[in-house]
Amino acid sequence: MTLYGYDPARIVLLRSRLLDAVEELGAIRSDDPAAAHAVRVVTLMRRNLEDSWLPLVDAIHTSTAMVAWRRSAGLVDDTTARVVSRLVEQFAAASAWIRSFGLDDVSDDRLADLLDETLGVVLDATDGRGSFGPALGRLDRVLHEIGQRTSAADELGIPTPAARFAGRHGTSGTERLIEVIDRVGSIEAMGLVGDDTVTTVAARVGPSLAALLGDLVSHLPEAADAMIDRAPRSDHLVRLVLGAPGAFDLAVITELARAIIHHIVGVGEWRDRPRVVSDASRADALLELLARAPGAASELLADPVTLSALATSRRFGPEQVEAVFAAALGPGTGDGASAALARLETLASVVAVATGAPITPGAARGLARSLGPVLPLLAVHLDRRLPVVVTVPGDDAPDGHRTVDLGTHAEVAALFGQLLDDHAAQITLGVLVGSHRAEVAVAAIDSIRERPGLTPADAMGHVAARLADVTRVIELLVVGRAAQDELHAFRHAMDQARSRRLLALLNTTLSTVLAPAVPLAGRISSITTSALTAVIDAGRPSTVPTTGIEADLAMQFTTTAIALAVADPGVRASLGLRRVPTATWNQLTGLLEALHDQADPEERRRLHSRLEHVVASDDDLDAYLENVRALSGEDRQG
Amino acid sequence: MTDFPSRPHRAPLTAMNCHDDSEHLRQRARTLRLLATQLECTAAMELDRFAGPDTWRTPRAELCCTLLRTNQIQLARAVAELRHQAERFDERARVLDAIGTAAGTGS
Repeated sequence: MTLYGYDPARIVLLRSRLLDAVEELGAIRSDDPAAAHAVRVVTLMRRNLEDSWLPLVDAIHTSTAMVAWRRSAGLVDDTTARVVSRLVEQFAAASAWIRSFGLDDVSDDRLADLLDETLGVVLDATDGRGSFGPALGRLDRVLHEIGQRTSAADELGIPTPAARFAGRHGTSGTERLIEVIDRVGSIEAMGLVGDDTVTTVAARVGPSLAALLGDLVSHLPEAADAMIDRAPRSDHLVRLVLGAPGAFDLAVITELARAIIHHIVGVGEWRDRPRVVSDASRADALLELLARAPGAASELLADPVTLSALATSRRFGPEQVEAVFAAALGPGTGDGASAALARLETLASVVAVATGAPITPGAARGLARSLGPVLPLLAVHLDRRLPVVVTVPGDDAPDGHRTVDLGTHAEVAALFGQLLDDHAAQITLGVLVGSHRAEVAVAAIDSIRERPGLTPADAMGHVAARLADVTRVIELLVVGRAAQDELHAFRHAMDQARSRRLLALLNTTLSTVLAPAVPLAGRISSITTSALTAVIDAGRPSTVPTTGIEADLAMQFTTTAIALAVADPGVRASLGLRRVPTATWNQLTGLLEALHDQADPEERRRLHSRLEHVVASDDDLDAYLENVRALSGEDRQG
Repeated sequence: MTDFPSRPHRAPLTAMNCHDDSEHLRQRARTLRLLATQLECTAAMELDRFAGPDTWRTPRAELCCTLLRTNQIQLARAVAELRHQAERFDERARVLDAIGTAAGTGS
């Protein structure tokens, strides 16, 4: 009878020796023609070990089918067989650790030193001083062992291998690690032809390197600094972070993004330094990541230089910029006073940027999307005669409030004018203002209900005061639109003047230089000049797009004011509308419901016109609407 | 008269040329010997010690061991050939030295 089986402990030892043998054979090189045959034998031997031995040993690792061969062979007594069986069961239960690379007995400190040595070996190999494949394989084994121990260390609450590495090798070790990341990334990106094993291993060590670097950065601030300093010059470092974002603190990723943005745009420390920037795709990928974490997005935009770069540079993807602005200023950052304060401070920075440069469509759309929480705070402080200084209740101020100066009314309006200049942002603004009006209407109803003894004039005053906030926002949009149209006209005039000057220069050159030799050239030149001048003069400046939001908002004022009264009979009485017939209220209710369900602009205008006619037919309703228009300032919108 | 094809030009056997060539040959011999020693000492040459019947016993394992023994024999032969070639380089270097010395003294 033939007995089959294996000894688990000796298999582990065999595997370790096997890997050493493969590594050593892979390191053997010779350029001497006399050694060619020997090198071929070495290559053949290594392939046999890799292709036949390693898969077999690995397969045995995952199988317990033949572990009990000693027992079944009848070579030992019953007691020993029971002990062996127990060991076999424990072995099977702990099969996860069987994937050992022969580093089980190495101390943690020695493992940290091994890592440092291995990093050096990899770097030497990439410099041509050694064989890269085995070096990378060695790194893979060390990183695997580190990964195993990190999981255990986390569970046990003891220092991780990364912490030990940081303690023993400090910043120089980190820099070596980052250098290896960069070079391994380059090799993976190149896709070594004819050696898939190497590129596969390179792809495998990537996540392990990311986990190690992330752990290292969390233990050593200098490591974070080294990584951020290197990032602008290393596509692979950024790719590593993007491949394993969970391995890094958001604060580190934010600083990384900031460094890369500054590098791409050439601001901050890169202002006067030479650089080569092929594209901004890695910045876009980081922006996408940060947009999913509103707090981090807000932190990114807290730096004025970064904010200005993202708001004005067209190097970055518009969708990514939009997402970051929307996240940073949107409700995702929280509901409290400090979140509101942060939003307003960011908005103030944007206003300052917008006074000196056009903001990009991405920034415009992101801002428009995020203004929902800001509008109610902003609206009450708008006055054309005064700077826009917004007050936010805050716990840490002496009087419980903090103020943010957004700039003059004209400056804030100029920003909104730029937002209106983007079609999508304009639509968004229209929707937001409409929503805000609906909210203030509800607040108005509540205000009236809380004061049952109000006179109709006072009740109308409450309604008008609430609606006036929205009217002031609309006024801001109107002023902004006018300013933006004026800017377009100015730029158009400048362009026209420049074109005429160039044309005149060309005409002069042709007339004085060429014409004496070629008389016909002068005749042709004047004909061409006249034609081109006519083309220049015929051009018209671009204007802020018209989406119809102003008209919609004007209609909405009426429907909101009427809906306010329709909703609650008690409120009707307070507003002095108790004499309006029930049939009229029913008619108005039907028209409001039809308007709510109708999307076609022409049909909406028709329904609105009917609504206005019904209102005008009743003296009390007509007076109510006119009074509210006047008190809220809506009648000045024209 | 028949024209014979011209012979390729060879550098004259001067003392300097001979000594340069012999040094080069000795260097190659040293390299080959180093390589031979390196191959002899690789872990692959004693891997069979860890892969005996006490470690594993399957038909495929036996096949792997047979393959390994074959490779080890091939490698041992390659090591012997390297050393033999190194000897030939050293011998050639000695001959060149002798020629070079003779050329230098004009004898």
